[in-house]
Formats: sequence, structure tokens, C-alpha cells
Amino acid sequence: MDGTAGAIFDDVEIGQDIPTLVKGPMTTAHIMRWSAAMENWHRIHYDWKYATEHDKLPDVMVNGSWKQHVMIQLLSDWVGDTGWAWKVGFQFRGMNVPGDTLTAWGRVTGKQERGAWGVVDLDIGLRDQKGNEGTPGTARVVLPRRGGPPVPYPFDPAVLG
Amino acid sequence: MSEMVPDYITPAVRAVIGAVSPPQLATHPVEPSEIRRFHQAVMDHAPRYWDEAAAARYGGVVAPMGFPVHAHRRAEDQEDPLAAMDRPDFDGVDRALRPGLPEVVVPLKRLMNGGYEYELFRHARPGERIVLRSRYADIYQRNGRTGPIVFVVIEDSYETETGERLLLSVNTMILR
Amino acid sequence: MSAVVTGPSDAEAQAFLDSLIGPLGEDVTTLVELGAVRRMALCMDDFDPIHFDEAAAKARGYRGVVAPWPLLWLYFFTCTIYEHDFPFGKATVHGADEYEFHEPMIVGDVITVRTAMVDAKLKHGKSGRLGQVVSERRFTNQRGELCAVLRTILFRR
Repeated sequence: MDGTAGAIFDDVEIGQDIPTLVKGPMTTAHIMRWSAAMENWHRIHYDWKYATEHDKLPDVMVNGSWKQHVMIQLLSDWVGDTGWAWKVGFQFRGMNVPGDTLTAWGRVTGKQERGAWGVVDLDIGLRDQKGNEGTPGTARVVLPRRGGPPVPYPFDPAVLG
Repeated sequence: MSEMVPDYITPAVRAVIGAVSPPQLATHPVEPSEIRRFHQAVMDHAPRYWDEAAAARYGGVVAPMGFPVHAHRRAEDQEDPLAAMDRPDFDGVDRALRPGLPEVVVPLKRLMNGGYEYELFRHARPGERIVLRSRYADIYQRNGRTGPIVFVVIEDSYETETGERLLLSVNTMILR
Repeated sequence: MSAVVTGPSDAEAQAFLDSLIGPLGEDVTTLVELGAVRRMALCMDDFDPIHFDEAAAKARGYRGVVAPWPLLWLYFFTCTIYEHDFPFGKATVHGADEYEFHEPMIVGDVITVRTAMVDAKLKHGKSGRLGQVVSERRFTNQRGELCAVLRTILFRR
């Protein structure tokens, strides 16, 4: 098929790290680009005086709404156009500011065959250049088995049985 | 002890728990330039967002999976979101946390996004108008060392105009 | 140390400016999108329904939802990339713009933007030597109708 071939269920091992995704160093321009594209007016993303004086933050903030798509991209890069990122959840616990370089990571915690496909569970996160974990979460993806049928699209969990 | 901590889950707040928005139709269809601005801002350059041949699985180019979460823009009869910006304490965010839902009236100033739980089914495609249905699933208070914290749990369902489901979301917003 | 005139002579500077005249880059096409039209209208507080509502626009004789003219600047910034490495002067500043408005741009139109440098001359002002360059963007719709002409004057000093 065209598109990007992603991971195959048979090759996945519990404990395995999936390829990381690095973003940054982040700058105010990156934050502005995202906020403008989303028409997000939350002042902590562009008004330094408000962020630091009113909200007592260390700087303007990298958008949580942006980080979530980095987490989704981490998974979609791994499963490619042959698997499916089915479930993803995370908490925004850490703050990130201009200057931070963020690394999204995932580690396989479980795998099981379901129907003609395989389901893989992961712990995911987003850490800054100092190693601080800011966005802990979990994910569940569906992968094809070697020689098996592709994961149906649009994805319907009912196919897993 | 927390006897002195005020209870912000007033009857008025409790009354909006369970509130459901009428279906909110996006003001315009998903557009190629929006997809471009989104994937460029995320710095996700996967060809499925811009190369028809690479997007064959999806029937053509698609928006990034999380795109519908931000697809609802200001309607022309809606108040200018910048109208209150001259108030130095206004943070720029409407306390009606979704279009079509009532405001959560709590006298707490700082709003933070606590996180999301997503279930993903299908990408939105150019030309499709996204329909959002939202519900305040829960609103509750916890009293931390720094004072009271109010959690607003919002369930969102995103579909196409023809009823094909795109994704489900549970979002926790935090007021403190 | 005496003041030394550095850089090219006037003749060399004028020759460089002359070399700029002509087409700039390839023609670029862009789709007029409803969301972009709405966004531009809203940020200018222009609530005329012809920018939001197809029926309202048609009732006023337009083919469809009408783009506010400042949307030309979206296409200016997204459709044309050019840089000049002037061999003289220190800064390039935006001097002025001139517009011609013709056939309205309508949502769904595919606009072709053709860019050319139409004038470039060397001037001598009180503050010294000044290059004045005029670029012209012609915006044409898929029906071959001229929608607008935008001339942008830049000064190099």
C-alpha cells in the first residue's frame, strides 16, 4: 500500500521502547503559531506579564493542547498507515516553557491477539531536557499481524470481537 | 483542617452537572489551509496530511487525528473573545468551556487543562463539517494544600455532519 | 579615518536594480476558503453577512460568499516567497501599497497569483542613497477574471 508501513504485532515485545519523537527547543514563536492556528486566546501563552505577574508562572506556557497532538503523533508515527492508534490518555502535570526540548516516549506494557489483529498497550510520556516527566499517560494501539489483514479503517472496535 | 475552605460546588454549579450541549456544527468545513497550519504547528509532516497518494487508505488526505478538538471557531453572532482583554485579570478563556454549554460559575481565577482520554475512530477530511456534542460529566472539588481545586470533567463526541464518528474525548479542566 | 564610500557605485547599484525587473517566481494558485474569509472578516469586526452567508451574498448579486479584500495579504504571505540580497544599503522597509479592486474573490474560487517586479530605481534623498522597488501581484480567478492588483513599494536604504 501507499503511505507508511508501521509496526507489526509479531515484532513487538513487552518492555520495548518505541522510537521517541523530539520537539524543540520550543520558542515563543512555536507557541504563537499553535495558538494562532487554534484561535486560542488563553493569555498565559502569549502575554508574558500576565503569565508571570498575574498567574505567577515562570514564563509563557507551551500549550497543553499542543502537547496532546505530539503524544498522538508519537503513536501514529509508530503504527504508521497500517495500524491504528485507538486509545490515548494523559495528564498535563508538568509545565513547559520556551527553551524546553521535549521528547515523547512510549514503552510497551502488554500485548494480546484480538481477532485477526493484535492490541498493544503502552505507557507514554513527554519529558523535558532535564528529564522531568510532564505528561504521563497510557495508550492502546491496534497492529496488523505478519501476513494478516490490515487494520480496518475507519476503525471500529467491534472488529476485535 | 479544612472547615474554613469554601464549598464552590454550589447548587448553581451542581445544576449544570449533566448539562448537554445541542449539536454544535462547525462554522465552516475542514479546509486544506487549516490542516496545513495544524500539522505545521505540531511539526507532524506525515504525508497523509498533504499527499493524496500516501493517503489512499483514508480515501484522500486527512486532518491530523486530533484536529476536530479545535475545529469550532467563533460564530459571527458570538461575542468577540478579545472584548474583555482590557480587564487585566481576564485570562482569555470563556468559562462556558464548550460551545453550547453553560458557564461554570466558580470564583477561581486560574484555569488549567488537566488532561484527556481519547478514543479515536476516523480522521476528519477536507470539506467535512464537524459536529460536537459536549456534556459536563462531573464537577467536583478537592481541597489541596494551596486551597480549593475544582475539577470539571467534560465528555465530547465528535462526528461528521452525516453521523460518522470521529473521536470521543474525556477532558478534565482544573480551576484553582 | 576618512569617510569611505563602500559598496557599489551608483551605476552598479542601478544595474542591480534593473536586473530585478521581470517575473518573480512561478505563478501560485490558492483556494478561497470559507474559514479564512470568516476569520479575516471577524478580526476586522466586519460583520457584513456577505462574508458569512451564501444566501445573503447571492441576494446582493454575488456568486457566493465574498472575501474581504484584506485577504489579499493572506495570499501575499502564503503564496510568495522572495528575498533580495541588495548589494547596498542596510535595511529594507515597507513603504506603501496601492490596490486595484476588480472582480470580487468568492469562496471556492481558485486564485492565481502572478508576481513581478515592475519598477526599481535609485534615488538620492537627504539621508543618502535609496533604492525604490515596486513589486506587483495580479490576482486572477479560475474564470480568467482579474480580481485585484496589489503593488508594494519597498525602500532599500
